[in-house]
Amino acid sequence: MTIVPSIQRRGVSLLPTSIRSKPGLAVAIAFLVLIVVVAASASFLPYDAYRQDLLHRNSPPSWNHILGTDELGRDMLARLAIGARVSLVVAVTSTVAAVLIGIAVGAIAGYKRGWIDSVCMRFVDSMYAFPDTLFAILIAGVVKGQLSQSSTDFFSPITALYKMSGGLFGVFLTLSFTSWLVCARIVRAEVIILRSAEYVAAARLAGASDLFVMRRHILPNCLPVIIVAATFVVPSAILLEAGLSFLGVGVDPPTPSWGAMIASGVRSMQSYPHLLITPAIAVGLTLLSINVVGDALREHFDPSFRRGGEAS
Amino acid sequence: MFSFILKRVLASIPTLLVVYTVTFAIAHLTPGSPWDSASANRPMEPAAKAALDAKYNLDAPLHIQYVGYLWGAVQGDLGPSFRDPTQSVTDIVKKFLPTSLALGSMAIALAIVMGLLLGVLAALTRSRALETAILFFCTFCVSLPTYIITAVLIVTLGVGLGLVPTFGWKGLFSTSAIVPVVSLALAPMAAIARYCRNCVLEVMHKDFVRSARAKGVKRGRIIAVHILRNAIIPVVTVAGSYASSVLVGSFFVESIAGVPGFGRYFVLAVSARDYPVIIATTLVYAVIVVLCNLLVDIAHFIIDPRTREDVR
Repeated sequence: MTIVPSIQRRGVSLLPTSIRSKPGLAVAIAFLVLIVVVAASASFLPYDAYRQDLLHRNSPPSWNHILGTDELGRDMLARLAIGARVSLVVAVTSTVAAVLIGIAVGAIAGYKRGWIDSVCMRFVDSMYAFPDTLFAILIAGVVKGQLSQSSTDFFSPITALYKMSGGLFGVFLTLSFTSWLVCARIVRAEVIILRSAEYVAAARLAGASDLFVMRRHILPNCLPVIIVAATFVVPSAILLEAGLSFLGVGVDPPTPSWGAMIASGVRSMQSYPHLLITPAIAVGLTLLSINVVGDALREHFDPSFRRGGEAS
Repeated sequence: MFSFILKRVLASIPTLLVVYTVTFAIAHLTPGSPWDSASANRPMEPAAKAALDAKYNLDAPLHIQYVGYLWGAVQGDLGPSFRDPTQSVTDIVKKFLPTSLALGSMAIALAIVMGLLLGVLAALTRSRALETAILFFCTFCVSLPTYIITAVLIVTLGVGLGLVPTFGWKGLFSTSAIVPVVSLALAPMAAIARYCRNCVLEVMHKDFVRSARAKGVKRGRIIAVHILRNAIIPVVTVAGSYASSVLVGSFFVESIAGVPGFGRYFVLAVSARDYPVIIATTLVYAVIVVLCNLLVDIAHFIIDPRTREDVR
């Protein structure tokens, strides 16, 4: 455990070397690929995730239903696959949105400094006083309440989108609103360092506009920290989505979601443990794999980063 | 020292104001009124509704409500509960918060002790397998959502082995506390262990450790005095950031394990649109977060003399 290997590793391309030295990383990536494939092929599975079969409720795993059926006789594998799609789509889209908001706020605050910086960062700091689950539940309540009403004003296209997506859009909004804070902080810190770089000063002297400097010099160099920030946001988005659906303020039934499946599994865990175990393993392994991959990415982009980032 | 604490306390007032404002806005943005659920089954006279609104000051303009509630809260009156008119929110906080606080302190204490042990062990062990095992266990614990941990613990320890009750709460020092305490403690424990390991690895190669070793200080003393003293600083930060969310209780853990705590009450309040309870709960959360941050700062002040220079 010396510093030398990590320095050497930084120069070489990431994946091949790291995978060879870390079998866990390879397994994690393989599992994530499997989840994506299952999610993408959910429509081709022999069973419909919505078709109820009341004669075969709560049946344990068998040849007909590999993972058994749930309390309404719906195939667990099909529901898990659709649930994977729900979780991944929500996690990825809301991460992208949250990262974009974070970049915008962090870059402006870090580049302009002065009162804009103070206002933005005071606000971000204050928002950290909300535990994220709590804030997400609050926001989800508002979003769900606002969007599930049939209104005729300018909200109507959003409302339509919300209803069409089975509540998915509400979760997306909630997660985007709640998870941009980390990214804003990380990007701001990096922008402050980069703006005093000599090539930025040179570009300014040559007459480059703020926007040009930002687009050409600062943001591309922020990419590593942005990726690092995203590695924090993706797992927490999956976790929060499952948590919100678990509490019933997430994806609307009958759309399957991992969180809702775990919630109904918890209700009957004493009599039908397979209803709990399968979605729990799916969520657990997915989060574990994402964290393993995230750790590798963080280590690659900045070995010293882990302390500053996670503590925020 | 005293002026340092005073400054931090004063600096937390704007944070609390932002939290109050945001929560107030969210609570009042949620469409519908608190009487909706009561009037869903039995239609309510408009006059009765107006009387209720007048009683709870809901017919006043928003800015009057905003100032009025804040004025009461500063004096310790958190208002009446809409859902349960027989008790005030202050009573509810007094009734449910101590359970969560006791549970949370136990969990965070367990997390710190176990986290330090695991972290130091992972950093100092000569066995590569042990190190990998500890690190994997930590990633595992960080990844798993608390509701899965709680549910799995109840199924294995409660249903399978019959060691602990599957539901309910009989005080902190009974078997019923094992499952909630362990499920709350695992994630902070893992985070602390990871930070602790990183820091120990970093400090181990510092000059002062080498000097100590060279002049013949015993290995145990080097670890306890030279390495741990430095490694504990970031551990305090991480523990503080987790402490606030653990102390106020987790909705998931409390509702699955049947602990009559603060976290569970919050979820009930959100679904009942019980504005005073929602606002009060969030404020209590924020105060605890602020207090935890203050404690962390004070702990830094005591442990790490270097930070004292920053205090102006």
